[in-house]
Order: sequence, then structure tokens, then C-alpha cells
Amino acid sequence: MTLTISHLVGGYSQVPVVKDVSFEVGDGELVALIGLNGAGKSTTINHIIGLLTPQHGDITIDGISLLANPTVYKEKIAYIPEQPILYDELTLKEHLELTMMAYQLDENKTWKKAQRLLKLFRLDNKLDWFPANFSKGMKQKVMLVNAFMTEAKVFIIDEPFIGLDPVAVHDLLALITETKLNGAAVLMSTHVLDTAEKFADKFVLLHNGEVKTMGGLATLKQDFPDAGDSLNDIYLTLAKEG
Amino acid sequence: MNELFKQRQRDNFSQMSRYLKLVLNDQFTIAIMFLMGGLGYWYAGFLKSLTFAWWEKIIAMVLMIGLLQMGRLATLFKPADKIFLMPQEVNMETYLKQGFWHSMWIAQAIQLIGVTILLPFIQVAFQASIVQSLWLYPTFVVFKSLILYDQMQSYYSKHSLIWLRVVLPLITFALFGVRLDMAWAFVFVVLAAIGRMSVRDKFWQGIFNWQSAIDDETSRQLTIYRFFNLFTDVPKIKGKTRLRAWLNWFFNHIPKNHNNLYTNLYWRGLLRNDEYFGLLIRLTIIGAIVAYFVHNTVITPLILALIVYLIAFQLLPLYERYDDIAFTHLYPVNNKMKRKNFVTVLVRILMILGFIMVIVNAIGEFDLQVVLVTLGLLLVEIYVFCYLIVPKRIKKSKE
Repeated sequence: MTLTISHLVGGYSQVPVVKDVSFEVGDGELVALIGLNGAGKSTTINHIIGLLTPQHGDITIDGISLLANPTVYKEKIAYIPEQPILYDELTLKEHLELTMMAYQLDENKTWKKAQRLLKLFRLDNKLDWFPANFSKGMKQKVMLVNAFMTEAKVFIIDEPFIGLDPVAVHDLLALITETKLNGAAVLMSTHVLDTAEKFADKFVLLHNGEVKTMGGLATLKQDFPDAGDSLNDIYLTLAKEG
Repeated sequence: MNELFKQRQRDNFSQMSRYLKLVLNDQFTIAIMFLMGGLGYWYAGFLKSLTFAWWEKIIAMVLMIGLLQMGRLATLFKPADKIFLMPQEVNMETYLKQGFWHSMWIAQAIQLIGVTILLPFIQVAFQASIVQSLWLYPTFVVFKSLILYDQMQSYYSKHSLIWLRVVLPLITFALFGVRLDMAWAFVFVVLAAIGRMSVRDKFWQGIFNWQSAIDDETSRQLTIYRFFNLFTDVPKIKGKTRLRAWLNWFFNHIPKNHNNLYTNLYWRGLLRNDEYFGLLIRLTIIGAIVAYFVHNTVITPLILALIVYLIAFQLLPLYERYDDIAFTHLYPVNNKMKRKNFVTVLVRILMILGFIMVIVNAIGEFDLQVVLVTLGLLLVEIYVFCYLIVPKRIKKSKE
């Protein structure tokens, strides 16, 4: 599965926040979307998941266009927001059931997957609790379980690391690796640069709504030869250049 | 999706009935009866004295178009839907249609009641006979259905709602207000509806606009909860905060010393939080309207006292508003000071609003007796409420 963003222009009003952004997330690839607060990361993500309509450009998954065929497109996507959003009145179990209904998943098979994930994130004894009352980290885990038990082919993860405990971060990275091996494409936005540097295959550096540079760490180093060796240094250089 | 909507409909119904029970059991039911009685009394008197004038047509049209906006599309969406229901986008059409039928009942009931109330006025304004004006009932029903349908489809096509909501009604009412028979207005609307329905399939295309659908539903529910909040505490009400820079001169006036710590906090909470500020404005405007029109030595003071009581009662939760913030427990200020500050703020704001209403009353028609009786009653009420009832209630809630 390949997620392709081509010449995306868009934002919340007539004034574009994202200006002509193009990049690709390929099969079994983890791409990290990096940029300062307000650089346009979340706006880009909101366009990819179809919450915003592009002013210009298109987004496709294996040639299926969001604009031309939103339904087929959306069945292939799973999204994990930065701020967990949950239903006040549903228990953890009911959240999972709703997701199964929405993605029309096979119940037996999916519950097996879910059980494994719940155990991994130590939520298996909280099925009858209301996740709306959980801490931020635990709510995030609920969103993770919901997303990773689907058979989505493209995962969009908005800043997953802040709020998770170190064990959960470790498990999440293992989970992402596993998902990649199954041929899924993963796009992740984050500020935790050393983790991104270690695990991502490609980086897209956004600045003021434009792609400044993208590619593997080697490509980035080529583009910013004086910046230093780590992603952190490159990022700081880019931010200073403004 | 059918099941999901039904489930939500049930939840929504049980929640609404729970709040309704709280509202109807309350002492405020009597209060509202009084208010309705007062308004009814004024309206009856107003109708009797009404004679035809050209500008009444314009007022009637504004009222009629306003009425058409009431009763919104209830989709029962929740914020988390945009994530959890994303892959079900194809079925949202079915879901929305259920929402449409669900909304029809209440929206049409509002239209029918509204038309009934407006009818006597419209008859005079448009110089119409009873039989003629009865055509307004089906006209409004068709209009409202059309508007709801249009709103439902706008989440896909993102077209502007103003054409069916305002422009078409304006043309219709203007046409028959000037020349044509009211029966023709109905025919006109039916034709418009047929025209709109024949192109309906075009409007189902495009990406479903989750954000605006959810925003609309949230604001609709907020309106309902706000209404309930007039009578009882609704936990879902969390107002926005606005700076209101034009009030800064006032905030700067509050003495900034240890003894007025909570006075500072409470004034800002009262005037910057939309929930409290909106409440003050809304109820004061209602009170001022009644005060402007009703001049009766008994009814006017009673209604205004009632409004002041409604406001005062709603402001009580402000006392505990900052208790969750850890700072307030670290401050070296005792509870006695806090109570004193609260009462000070309460007395001042009630006095100001009470005076505004009395002044409006005097502007409407100066009758010394009414003004004096009202003023006296309000002062007694504010004293009793703030110095006798409030301390008792605060003590009770502490235990």
C-alpha cells in the first residue's frame, strides 16, 4: 500500500496552511513527519484522513483517491490522534466493539488480536471501565488498541510518544515494526527526534507549510552538510534558518 | 448504522427525560408560569390595541423567518465519531436520514406552536382572513422539512444554507404579503420543494464533512443544555472564556489587596466566562423587554423579582468554581473572607442588573408607583437572598 500526497494545498479557511506539499509513504515504510509547532503537520494529517477538503492537489492510497472515492479510501486508513477522543458513555469493551462494527471486522478473529494488544498495554482487566476517565497515557493506549486491531493498510499516528510510559513506547515501536512487516504504510508525526531517528525509514521536514527536505538521514545530511550528524542538529539548523 | 442511531436515540431520550424531570419538579416551573402569564397578558393587551401599519409587515416577516430557523437538525453526532466511524462514511447517508426523521417531530411541533402564537399578529399585519392565514400551517411545515433536508445534504456538498433558510422564505412571504393570496404561498413552496428534491442526488456527492456536522450537533446540544442549565446544574456546560478588553477598566478598579482576593477572581469569572456572562445578558434582556412593556403595580415587580432570583440562583455555583484549583487551597485566605467576597460580588451584580431593568421600565412608561414598588421589592429580595439564604446554602453544601 502506498500513500501518495501530491501538491496538497489546504487549511482551515481560504488562507492555506499547507502549501504544495508532496510526499509518499510506501509499502512497509515508516515515515516521520517533523516540524515545529504550527508548521502544518496536523493540518496535513487532517487532510490525509479526510477531515479537511483540499483546496488543491489530491491524496491517494494505491491510486484510490480521497476526493473521487472517499469510502473505499477511508476503509484502508486507521488514525490515532494526538489528543485521544473517546465516548463518555462507552466502556473500553464497547469502544472496541464499535470499531469492529465500523470497519466490519470479523469478531472472533479481531477479539483475538485485541486481547493480545490489551494484554500488551496492560488494559486487559479494564474492559468494563470508562476510558473517558483514564489518564492521558492510558487513553492513548485505548486509541492504539482500536487502531492496531483493524486491518488497515495505512496508519496515521499523530505524536504517539508524549504521555506514554517507556514500556509502552517500546511496545508501540515493536508493534509498528510488525505492522510494517505486514506491508502497511505508517506515517507518524513526532517531536521525539532521537526515537524517530532510530526507527523511521524516511523523514519529511515541514516548515511554514512547505516541505523543506525529505528522505533518509543520509539525504538530509547532504542537504544540510554543516548542520551536524543527528536529526536533532539538522532540525535545529532548519528551524533557525526559518 | 441503523442500530447505532436507534441506540443513540434511546440514550438521548433518557437523558432528556432525566433533565426534564429535574426541570419540571422544580420550583421554577411556577416561576416560568408567571413569566409566560406576564408575557401572555402583555401580548393579549398588545393585540387588542393593534392597528394596521405598513411596518408591521416587515416585523411579521422577520418573526416568521426567525421561527423557521428554530428546531434544528438533530444528528446526535459525538466528537469521537470522526475517528471511530470514519470507515463507515458510505453509510452516513442512512444515518443522517434517520436523524432527519428524528428531528422532524420536534421541529414541526415548534413550527406549529410558533405559527399559532404569531397568527393573530400576522392576520393584522397582512390584513388576512382566518381561512387565508390557515394556509400558513402547511406552508411552514413544507418549509421546515425542506430546510432540514438541505442542512443534512450540506454536509456533503458544502453549499450555503442561506438560500433555503432565508432567501426563499423572504421571497415567499414578500410575494403574498404584497399582493398574492396566502394559498399561493403554499403552492409556491410546494413547487420549490419539488424542484429541490428533483436535484437531490447531486448533493450526496463529496467528502462527508465530519467537522461541521459534529460542530453543529455540539452547538445544538449546548443550546438545549443551556436551557436546562437555567434550572439545574448540567455538568456538560463548559463555557468559553473571552478577554472582553472593554471591561478592563472595571477589573483595574477592583482593589488588589489580600482582603479582596476572591472579589478579583469572582468578578473576572463572572464577566469573562461565556456561561455566566451569557446568562446575565440573556436574562437581563428578557427582564428588560418585559419591564419595557408591562406596567402593572403587581405583575411588574413580581416578574422582575423573579428574573433577579433566577439570575442569583444560577450564580451560586460560582462560589465553588475555583475549588478544584490547587492554588486556592494554598492561599493564606480563610473561608470567611471568601464568603464575604462572594456576597459582595453577588450583591453588586444583582443591584446593577436590577437597576437596569427598573430604568428600562421607567423609560417604557414612567409610573412612579410601579417604579418605587419594584425597586423596594428588588432591594428586599437582594438583601434576603445574599445575606440570609446564601450563607445558609454555603454552609449546607459544606456539610
